[in-house]
Amino acid sequence: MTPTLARAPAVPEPPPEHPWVQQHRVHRNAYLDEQLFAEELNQIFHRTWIYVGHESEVARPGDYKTTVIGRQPVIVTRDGTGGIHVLMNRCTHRAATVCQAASGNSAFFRCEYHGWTFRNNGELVAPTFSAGYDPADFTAAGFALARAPRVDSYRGLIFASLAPGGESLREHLGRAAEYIDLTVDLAPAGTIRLGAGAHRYSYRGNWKLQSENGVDGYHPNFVHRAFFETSGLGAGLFGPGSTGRAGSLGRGHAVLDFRTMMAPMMRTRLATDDGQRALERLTERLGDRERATEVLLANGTQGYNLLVFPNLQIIGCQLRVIHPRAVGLTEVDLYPYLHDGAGDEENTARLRTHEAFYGPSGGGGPDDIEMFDRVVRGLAVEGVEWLPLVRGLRREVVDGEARWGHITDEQPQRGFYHRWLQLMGASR
Amino acid sequence: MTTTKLMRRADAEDFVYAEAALLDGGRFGEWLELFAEDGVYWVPANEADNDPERHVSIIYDTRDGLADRIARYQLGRVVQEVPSRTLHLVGNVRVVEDAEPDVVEVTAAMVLYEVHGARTTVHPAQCRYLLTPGPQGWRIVLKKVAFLDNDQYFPNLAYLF
Repeated sequence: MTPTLARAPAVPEPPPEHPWVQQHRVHRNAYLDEQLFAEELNQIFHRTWIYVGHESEVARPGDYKTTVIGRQPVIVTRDGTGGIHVLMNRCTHRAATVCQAASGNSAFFRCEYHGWTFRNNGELVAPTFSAGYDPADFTAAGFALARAPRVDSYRGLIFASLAPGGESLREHLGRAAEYIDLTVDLAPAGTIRLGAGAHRYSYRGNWKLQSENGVDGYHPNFVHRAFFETSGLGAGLFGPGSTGRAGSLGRGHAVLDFRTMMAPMMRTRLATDDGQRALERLTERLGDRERATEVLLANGTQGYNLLVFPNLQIIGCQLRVIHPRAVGLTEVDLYPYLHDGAGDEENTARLRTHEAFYGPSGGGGPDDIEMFDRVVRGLAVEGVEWLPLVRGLRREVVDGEARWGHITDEQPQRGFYHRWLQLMGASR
Repeated sequence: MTTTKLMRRADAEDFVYAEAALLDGGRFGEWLELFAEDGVYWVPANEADNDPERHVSIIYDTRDGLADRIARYQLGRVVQEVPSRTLHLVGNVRVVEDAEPDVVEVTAAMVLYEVHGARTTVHPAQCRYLLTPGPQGWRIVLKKVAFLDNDQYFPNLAYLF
């Protein structure tokens, strides 16, 4: 069955122009230019809401984890009163990082360089040998760890913004929140958790290659053919006859929505005794049978690939976080998430399902990285300057801020760059 | 002092060297035959050791999963279009006390070189085997490859270790 796709009206409100990103095409320098990369850090990563962790990673007072916002190291902490802080991991004295571990539990962070000690809410306890500091030059209150001025969470996902003002997290998430809801509502207890470790991989290419690829439904039919052939899944899921949809959700967020593709399988599963029991339990919790049915049919393990602009993806049963390290170097964390309230066996099965396709040895992940390598080599060609993003432009459906097309269409990438232009164009 | 060992160190060395030769020679079908029917191939993530039921792994393959993996690699698509060439340098082979009546534990150190196109990567690893005797010789119940750098960011690991 081919989805019904109406001819789109003209695109309203063209965003600001940029020499290297224009309507429906991207210049090769967008992936190669160091100055542009620095601007992206400032205009995108230091301005919008950036995912920094999950509440389950800092569940107890004193819990902390370290991560980065753009390239800046931060510590996500939970203080003794339950408050969550996102502190810059930089001693206010001689700039050394004060926390070296990936995660742990501590009420204090002590810089080993000159012994300054900070509370997990960022306050400086006191400088060491404090008699050497005269109150005229120094107050402890003036040398607390710097912090992200805004921290908020949605359904357990913690975000921070280095900008003191701007839209709220809820405004930023927009319609991406609908998919986060589907993901979290599926867990029997209504919450998900991390804690099963992470796949970590890097590639020598620009961060946007991964942001684009996670919501690119055109490539699986080709890049992942070996997986489809050996796993018994038909590559037709991503062929011209697929019923799946690609969408831009507004504000740079995007989705590949496989739910129609998975519906026959999910309806069969829902009709079993186990499926009906799951439906009863979820209906009781959500108080709405129709919503419970929708959540269960969404599957949650491969119902959709979501991109939360600019660098968070929810794919399969993983939270994927893309870290720009340099214009041509990217690090990626894949955190499999577990369902609170589900049996151990079910959560273990989620890990095995994740490993089958994702990560540095997965059945699909390495093929994407190989393609990024080839893109980077090809981008060295001069004289062929532009990468087009026009696929499905004239068969998309406009739905408020969102635009929908066939699963192989390029609404997700166009939506991503529309937001990119709003943020980057504003600087010019 | 260990009293009864099913396997002598020289036999363990022969086994892991022959296994390395199969991998480096691309003889993956023969390598798969080394695994027992219920054999497991495990490459932990993030740490040297954790509970694979509760922690994600880089690979946690049953024999069937391993067969699918080999079939996929042998199609020669995308990342395998230019197959990785490997050199498994294995040493420090030791036979640990018998794990169970019919199972022997062997540990070894490995330095693994991978050449993929213009890139050569080196991964040090500790290997642990559980082996059981069978009519065709020793069979692998478990092969665990714990990369020393498994808490770091990896390049592609789309080959066999």
